[in-house]
Amino acid sequence: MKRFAIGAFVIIAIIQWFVPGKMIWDKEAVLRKGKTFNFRTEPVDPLHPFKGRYIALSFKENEFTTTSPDSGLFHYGEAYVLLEKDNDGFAKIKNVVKEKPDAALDYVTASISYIDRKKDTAIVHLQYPFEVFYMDEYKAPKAETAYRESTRDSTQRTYAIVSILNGDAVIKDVMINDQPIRQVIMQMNHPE
Amino acid sequence: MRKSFVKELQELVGANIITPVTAQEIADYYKQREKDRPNRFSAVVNILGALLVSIGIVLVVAHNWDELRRTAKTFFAFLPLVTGQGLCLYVLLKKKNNIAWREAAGVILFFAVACSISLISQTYHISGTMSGFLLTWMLLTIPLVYILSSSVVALLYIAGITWYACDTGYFNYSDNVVPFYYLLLLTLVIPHYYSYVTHKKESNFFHLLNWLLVLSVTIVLGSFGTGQDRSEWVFAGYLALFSVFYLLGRLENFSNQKLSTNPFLIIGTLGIIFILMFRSFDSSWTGAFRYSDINNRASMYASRFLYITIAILTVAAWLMLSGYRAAKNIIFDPTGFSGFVLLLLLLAFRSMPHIAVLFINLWILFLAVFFIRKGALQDHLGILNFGLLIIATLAILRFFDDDIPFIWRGFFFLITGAGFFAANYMMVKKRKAITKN
Repeated sequence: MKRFAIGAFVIIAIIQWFVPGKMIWDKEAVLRKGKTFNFRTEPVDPLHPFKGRYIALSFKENEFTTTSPDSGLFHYGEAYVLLEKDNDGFAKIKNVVKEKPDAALDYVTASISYIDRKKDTAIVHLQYPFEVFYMDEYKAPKAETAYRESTRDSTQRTYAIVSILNGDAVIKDVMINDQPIRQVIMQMNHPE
Repeated sequence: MRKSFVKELQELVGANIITPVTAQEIADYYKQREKDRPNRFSAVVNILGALLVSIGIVLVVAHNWDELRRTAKTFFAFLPLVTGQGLCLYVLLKKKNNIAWREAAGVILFFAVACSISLISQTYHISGTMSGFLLTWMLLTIPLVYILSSSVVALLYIAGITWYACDTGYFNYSDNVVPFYYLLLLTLVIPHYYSYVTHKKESNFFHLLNWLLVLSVTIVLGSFGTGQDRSEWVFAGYLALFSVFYLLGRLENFSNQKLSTNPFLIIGTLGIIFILMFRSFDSSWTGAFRYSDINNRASMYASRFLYITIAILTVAAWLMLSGYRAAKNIIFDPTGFSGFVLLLLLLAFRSMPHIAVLFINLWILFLAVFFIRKGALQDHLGILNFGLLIIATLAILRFFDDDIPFIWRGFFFLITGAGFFAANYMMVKKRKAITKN
């Protein structure tokens, strides 16, 4: 009986390692091999009881108008967002499809959060799997302030650097005026 | 052993009621019993300590250590996991029979799993939903309930799956999501619970498990409804659930226990009375009647909650058939039938709310009379006065009901008040007669 319990425990322990391990493995692969895109953002600062404070990111490039009801985009669920870069080098939605695209293309798996149906067209609102950026609990509220100040001034720009591979994505950093947000906060704390 | 008890034993020996040998035997018996009982105090303190330390670690992790590099964060993600697992392995090898160690190690590993998933989510900024996080966490930790036979982990698990169900069913913007996984997750803890029902009914953990299970199911049931469900079916579903609770509470396993350790009976009875009282208002029927098209039969039967209600009532019927044959009831107990009564009234008199309300009021009176009679027969003032309290509450509610003429309301109050006096007077008289004899 004791042997059985220990055997079972070892298996459970391995599974308990496997789940976080797989998370790391997948995300590291995205960071190493993925292609980087810059997404224009609009951050705010909420919290998660276990993971702490983060900046919730909503992206400017988050909707897509479809004219073909046959594309399946008139229904909720998962969708694949094909990406390209605009003239300023920011991420831009090229197309949104329901079937998994070829691995050679740059795409990210998102979910359809809202469909604004018109007669023959529909505006599909997308939710990306990289909408949070965790930060030190003291820095996160300041990051929000920094962001708000930067939006008042239309010459400033905020964006997230996201690495993308086979539909999976990892945020590398959030930038305000080409400067990492953590550095912006540090400068706020120690102005020269 | 208490000093006063030893003194009393000596007194009994002195008065020649028991021999010194018997006194020694009694003393030995109690000494042995104390030895067999695990040290409860140290177990409780250890478990509380483990809980506090674990939650502390969770909070420290939630601070978000920006300054650490990715590799360092990964290392720290596995540190609590390794510590918890090491502790559990030690317990399995060396301290298998020590409750305090087992429970404390279980609690630490339970929270360590949450820490490690959280830290990795932070490191890679993984959005993830709260319900997804809870689901992974609970599935990774439920085996500890069986391997370590840890009841605290079982309690935490029930709390966790309740949170999961609420997050999926209640706190979700899209209203059609139903936490079906909750049912599966709940069945995973049932074998552990069953082992308590069969072997450890006196244990405090058993009482805690009962309370938590009853509360969990009560909280979660409503999350199975969708935006389209009619409120009357949700009420019917809850009444059916409380009827099942009541019937379970009357089973031999629970009815012989103290009332405070029988949550099935407490929540069942109170829930039944509360919902019946609510449905005894005319407006609770006419309101629904006004807002929905009664001719539209299809939509009435299309509600998912109607079928949930019927499913729960099937369980109630099964409990009645199997339980009532075995139990020795003094008088017929109608309380468990309340769920069926409301369902029948909803199906038959939905378009005639006045008749339905009349029946509900009569049913409440019937239940009250049952409790009064039962109290009188068992010579139990508590049960008797509970019956009277039901009538009093009904009277107060009807006092504010404008549909009944003042004269009838007046008579109702007079009769109810007189009933209180008469019932208690007769009971006290009966008791006096018994003590005289």
